[in-house]
Amino acid sequence: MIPPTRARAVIILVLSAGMSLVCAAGGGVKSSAPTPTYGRDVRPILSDRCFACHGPDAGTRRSKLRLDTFEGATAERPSGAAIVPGDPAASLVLERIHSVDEDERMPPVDSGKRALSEEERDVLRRWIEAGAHYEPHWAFVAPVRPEGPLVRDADWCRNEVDRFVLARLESEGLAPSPPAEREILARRVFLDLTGLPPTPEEIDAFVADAREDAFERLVDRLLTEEPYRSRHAERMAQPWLDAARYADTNGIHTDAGRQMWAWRDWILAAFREGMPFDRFLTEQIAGDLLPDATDASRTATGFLRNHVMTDEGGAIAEEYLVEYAVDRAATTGSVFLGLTLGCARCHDHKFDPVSQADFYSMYSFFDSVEEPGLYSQLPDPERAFEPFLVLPRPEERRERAALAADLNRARAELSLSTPGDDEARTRFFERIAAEASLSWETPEVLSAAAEHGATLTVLDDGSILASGANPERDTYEITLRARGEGLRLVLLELLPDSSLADGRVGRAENGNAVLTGISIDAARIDEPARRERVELGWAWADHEQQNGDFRVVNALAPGDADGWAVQGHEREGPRAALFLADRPFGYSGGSELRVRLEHASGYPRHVIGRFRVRVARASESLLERLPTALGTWHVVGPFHADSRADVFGFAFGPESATELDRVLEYSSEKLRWRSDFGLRDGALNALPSGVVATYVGRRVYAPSAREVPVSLGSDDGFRLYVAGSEVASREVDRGLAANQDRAVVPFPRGSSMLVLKDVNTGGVGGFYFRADARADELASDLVAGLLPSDARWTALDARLSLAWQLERSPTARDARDRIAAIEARATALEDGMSRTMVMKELAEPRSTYVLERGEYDKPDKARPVARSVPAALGRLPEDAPKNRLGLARWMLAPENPLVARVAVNRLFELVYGAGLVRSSEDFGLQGEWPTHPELLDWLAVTLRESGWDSRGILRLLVTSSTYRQSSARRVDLAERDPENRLLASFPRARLSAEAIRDSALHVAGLLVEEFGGRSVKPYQPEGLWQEVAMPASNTRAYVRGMGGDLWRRSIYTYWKRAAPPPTLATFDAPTRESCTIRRASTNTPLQALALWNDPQFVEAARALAARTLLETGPASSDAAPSAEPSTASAAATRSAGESANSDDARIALLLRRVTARNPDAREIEAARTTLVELRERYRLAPEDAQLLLGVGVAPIPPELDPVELAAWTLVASAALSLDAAITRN
Amino acid sequence: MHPHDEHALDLTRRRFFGVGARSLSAGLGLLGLGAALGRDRALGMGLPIPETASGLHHAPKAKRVVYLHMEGAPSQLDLYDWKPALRDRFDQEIPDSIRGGQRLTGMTSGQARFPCAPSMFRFDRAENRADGVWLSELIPHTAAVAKELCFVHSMRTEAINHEPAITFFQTGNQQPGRPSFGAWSSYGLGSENQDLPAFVVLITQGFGNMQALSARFWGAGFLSSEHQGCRLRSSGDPVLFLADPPGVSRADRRKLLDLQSEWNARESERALDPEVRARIAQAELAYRMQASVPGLLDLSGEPASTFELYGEEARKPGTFAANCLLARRLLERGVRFVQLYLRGWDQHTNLPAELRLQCAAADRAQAALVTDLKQRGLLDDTIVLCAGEFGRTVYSQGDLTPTNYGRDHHPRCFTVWLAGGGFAPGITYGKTDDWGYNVVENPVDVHELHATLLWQLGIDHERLTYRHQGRDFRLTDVFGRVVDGLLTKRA
Repeated sequence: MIPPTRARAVIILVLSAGMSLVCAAGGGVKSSAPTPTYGRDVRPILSDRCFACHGPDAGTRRSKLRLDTFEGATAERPSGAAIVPGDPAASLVLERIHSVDEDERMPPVDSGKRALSEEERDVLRRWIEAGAHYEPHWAFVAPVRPEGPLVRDADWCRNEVDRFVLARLESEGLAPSPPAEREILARRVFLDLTGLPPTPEEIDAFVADAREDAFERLVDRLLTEEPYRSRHAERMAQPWLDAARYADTNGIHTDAGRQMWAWRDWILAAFREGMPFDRFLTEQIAGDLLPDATDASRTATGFLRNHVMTDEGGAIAEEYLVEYAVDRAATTGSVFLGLTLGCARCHDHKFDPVSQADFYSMYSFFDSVEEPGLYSQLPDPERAFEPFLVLPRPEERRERAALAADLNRARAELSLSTPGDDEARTRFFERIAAEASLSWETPEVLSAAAEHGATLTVLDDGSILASGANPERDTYEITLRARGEGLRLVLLELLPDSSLADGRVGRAENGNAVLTGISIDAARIDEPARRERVELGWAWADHEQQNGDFRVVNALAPGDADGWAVQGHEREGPRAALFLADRPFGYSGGSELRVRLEHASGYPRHVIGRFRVRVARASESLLERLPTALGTWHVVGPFHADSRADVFGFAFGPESATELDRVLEYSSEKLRWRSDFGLRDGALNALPSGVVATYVGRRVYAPSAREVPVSLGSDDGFRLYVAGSEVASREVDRGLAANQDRAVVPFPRGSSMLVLKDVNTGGVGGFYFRADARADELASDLVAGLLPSDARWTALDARLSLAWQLERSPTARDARDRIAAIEARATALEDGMSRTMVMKELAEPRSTYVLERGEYDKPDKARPVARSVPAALGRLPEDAPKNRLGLARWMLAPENPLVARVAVNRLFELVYGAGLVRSSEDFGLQGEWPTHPELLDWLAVTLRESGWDSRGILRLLVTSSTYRQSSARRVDLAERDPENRLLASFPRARLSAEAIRDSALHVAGLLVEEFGGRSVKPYQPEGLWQEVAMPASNTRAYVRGMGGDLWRRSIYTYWKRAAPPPTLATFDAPTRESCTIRRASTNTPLQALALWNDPQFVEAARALAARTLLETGPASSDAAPSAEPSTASAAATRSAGESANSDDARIALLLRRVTARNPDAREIEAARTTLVELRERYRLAPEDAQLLLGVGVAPIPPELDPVELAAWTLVASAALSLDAAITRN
Repeated sequence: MHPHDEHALDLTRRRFFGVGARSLSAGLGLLGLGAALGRDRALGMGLPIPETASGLHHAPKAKRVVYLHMEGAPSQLDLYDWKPALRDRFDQEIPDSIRGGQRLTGMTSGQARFPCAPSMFRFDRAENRADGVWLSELIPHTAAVAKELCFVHSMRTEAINHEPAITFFQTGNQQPGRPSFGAWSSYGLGSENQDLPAFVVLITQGFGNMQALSARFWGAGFLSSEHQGCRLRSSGDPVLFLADPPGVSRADRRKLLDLQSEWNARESERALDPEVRARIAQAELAYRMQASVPGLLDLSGEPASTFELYGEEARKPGTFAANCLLARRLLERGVRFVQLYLRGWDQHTNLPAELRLQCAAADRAQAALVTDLKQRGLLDDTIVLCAGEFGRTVYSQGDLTPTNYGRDHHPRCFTVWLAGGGFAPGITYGKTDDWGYNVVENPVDVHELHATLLWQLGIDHERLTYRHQGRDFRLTDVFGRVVDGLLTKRA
């Protein structure tokens, strides 16, 4: 027996021969002498067997022979010409392919290429005989409108689409199929145009509409009237999102979230308003460059920013800048030109006339974007990556303006200083100074030296300036002569200097500095050898950098890399840090102080540039005034336990910590303390989820032993420890809020360890902590009041003044509170505004070169390229700008051979399941020959001449008689045209993943229709994201949406590239990592499992069952709910006849809703039998019914009997799993 | 059934499960397009048909692959590639002549020094079938099976960061979009099994710095999506949506399936579309999978000796030991390609402590898998591959002390090992220089490894192609060659 595959293969070959017969003659008139054409018949053979050695790539060419051009093939060679037009016998090509000598025969045996078949050799022979015409590739010649062909059955034709299709059928001796049943046609056009099936009412209305143009009216309604118009936009956008590789995450490394949905909404709006295709193209390619660019047109350029992006720490920016530009060029090529430009990145295109230089000429339109190349990992998953656009809604704009006005008012009130304020403040600090005997001195500098090479110079004002060598790390040691005794405070002033970067305080390239340690030794001036260490136990700074563990208290512990960062790269002006000695120092007669400043952070050259040291004496009474200094929060955990009680009760170890030891490992899980600057005081901080304990801890520096009032919150319970002793605890199950508990925490003088154990018993954990000021304690900003007045530069003085007001004046306090509230609201407002990534050109375009082998670090400087289009496809219009706008104009010019064809082909594919060019992503030489070349050109020209009215083309396609044919397979076509290339019937096709889910929601009555907006997170099995994500990823936890989010159309489902929505992926949705023009349509058991068991389908089945029960009338007793379902089932008491009728009607309605068809008796009977069995089964086990109904959160109408509903739910589930449910007939 | 339908159904079934057992029992599989599309459809689409569409390119040495991907890149210097000469070079600068202007990751490119960090671990000589192999004290179980292992010390790759490097190792290309190795295998070979997918993926979370995984690593790229790896998860449904909803019994499911099939049969009569019949059959397969997958995961039938071999960890779902055991059970059932991921090998700092933990998770289980396959007679025609995506630097990243150091990414040399499937057992291949920095003998690049693996499966890497966007793509791009030195004898 011949295996079926082989038998069918032969048939196809026969068919292709028949096809060429028709095309060659043109006009639908049969010719008896089929002449092979180069592009369709000959070139595929040569390309496959010969071009590797005798083709366009000069690098691999053998014997200097090329067969891809007429000149090359016919060139006279020593042994004759390879091809002699009209003379097969003289053509060496034929001789060589026929040769029986293995050494002579082409292709060579060792080339791995198959020998030519008899048919193939015959094609070559006949082509040479006919003159060996090398006509150019059809797709590279601009289309002209062909004449509509003559057809015999003109009555069948409703429009030109039909004429071309029918002419082809008639030439094959085939007749079209009869029209589809009206209900099937309705379902077809609803699904094709809106992505949702019609309701029974909508079907009935169409079936009952006897007007001649009922179908045209329906189509118009679906395209232009709400709610269909919006649904149509949602349906049209779906394949466009694949093509444009739209997603909600970056795709690489942490796969960070990105905000891009405004672009998706732009697409939706464009389809809803029926935007002409020329504008649709122009705005996406160059909306930022239009003379009248708007926020909307800029938003459209997100098309070019949808590519994947990385934030991997070790990645190299230049490399990714290249990748991004390559992606833009390649995607533009695939989507609009139907060309595989990306193939020419590394070498000349093997098949298409696109050289490597051509590729980089196209690429250079896309490589001059104001983008950094690498993006840092930020916790915000709603981030838009630069360059981006903020898109406030009108009401947000209004509120922003109102808030700004409020803020100005409140600030004005605040700046109205009360008469006497300044005087009162001065008196206040004078009193403190007097009480504490505070007196400052500026010691004389005896020497200053840097250990690793910097030159330190003492300036007249007692400050010290570093210059000269600038090593990565350095340590300064200065010696001072101080006069005073009883010294307690040390002031370190960092001073800006014009010799430093940007006139800032640090020696780093960006002006920043990080002080990692300060230590002081003191000795009698006459006994310098007997030095004693001055222990420092508290610190304060006027400013600390916020984006890391950078608090000034870090400098109290020299010898490690932690330090005080001053943010010199972003803030001007001086800085001040104040340190407190544990005991008074200084000797009578004067002291020699040796001060060491260490710079050992991981940041090279972040060394102080200019500084001054002063000291002050002060008495013990000052210490009570000083605020408690707090280190950065550290965290360790989570620690797992078997039970909630254990989580609270078990000591995992960190509670007894008395030091912040980051090397120490706890438990078998080897957990260690790590700093987490994201944990903030006075904020709700999230901690790991599960039944776990997580510890947060920090060092606390108390100038005096004291009791500090603190405000606490926790999810769930907490235990609080100071230096290993428990000081407060709460065992409770609760969610996190501020100020849930208050405690007074005793701290000993000096540094101690504060540990909070967060006891979590499920869900996400979290804590809240705020230490409040004690009476008489100075607020942090008021500490500046202790500084000598000449160390209080203007900015610091202003802050001090403000702080003073806030502390002491009720109006000011009120204004401050209002300002804080306004600012919080303004921040929330700004954060909440949508933003979206857009294109933005660099002021100066980059120089672009051909990259050797496509590698980013191998630009060939000898081959610079200018922006232009592949020469074989034309050239930019003379007057067009040399940028993306000019590129768009070229694409839309009448001479462009590709753009209009590619666009109409996509529409054809959308309606008929396959394009006229089946390889819709490739119109190049390796692409497929169009099935109906004239129709393609007719549609392309019509699109352009109609003002690019793509909706008009769509209307033509669906109102044709071709579209209205039955989809039943025909026995006479099964073998002649198994792929339905001739369109003698309408192609049956499985629905897209999105349409399958949306249809289920729609027939269930669950679909929540909201047009546009943020992406949503419907049901998804737990853990899918977590299992693949990095711990640091901000798209690690999938937090299922609430309410309507569960039932929105699938186009709004959040798309994480590393783990796309699982059920959509099962039904062939791509990952969206790169441009996808065509999806596969597979048929796998995983699809059956999803339809049966995915909770969103189970819930939909339940809702479908419920509405079926409710809509078929409260009516007769058989449908009445039963209070006691298990003992007095309604089914048991009603008459068998009544119940059967009612069941049948319901089954019919249910199936009609899902498939649009009225089921026949056999189908109804099958369902009835199953229903009766299920009803009985759940009557006997009502608890199972409850379990089943518990799937999903959609409410259950209380009047329904659970047993009845459960039985119907399963019948509905079977219906939703039907082939007819997920297929468009 | 209409013969036409039957044929189409047969094709459709193959689309998920690959080729039927019939052709394989004859020692031959059906290549690529035959399995994916059917020769007719391929022809109809103008796609080239390999002339070997009726079978493999040559007699295969191996039928199955289990690929242990050590994600994050284990340190070859601390595990496999012993460099005794480095003992005396602690903290010495790596000479420029050795580094040779290599590009560095953004993580160490700012480092002022590149001080040598010799491994702090003891290496012992393990018996193999040649001159022995020196292996780290961290992997005693692996050392014990060295007689079966083929160590390649001279692997090289192109990428220096995880994402592109893993993507390269899994798909032959650094940028996303290509099919994974497993998908190519499924496309080329189909499955020997009727109730399980051809390509299964198992993931273990590790201890150290975890890099991201992405569906693309086991994705089908432009191949049709039935070739993508099917993840078996250790929590929840092992296969997504495998379990029926609560309150629905196996008998209920059967009843519903019968109803569904009857309805579908009516649709088939009306539509005359073979796809409907195919869907009926797919639903039946789904029903069978609901039984076969739990059976696969049910370890109660495993004797005590299994857990003596793999360790008690193997009872805990999701551990590397459990996944190695599961891999054996999958291979036994005819799954073609099992891919395991063990995350957490990215030790930039604090390497000694973290590596110890990772090895504790990996060593015994991977050795047990080799032993187990050997004992069951499966090792002969199963390839075991254990590889990270690149190596680690000999110079230290961050603080360096004799017992604490870190290592950055190193693409220029690293070690992978193979076992079974015709790979020469008990040998070492390739050499690196005394600094463990460059390959000095017999380099093997990723495309070459791919070509060699395919060769052992009966496939010529240059001839397993798929036409996409006008180009015939293959796993090895335009590169690769079979590395004969790794094989017992070229098949």
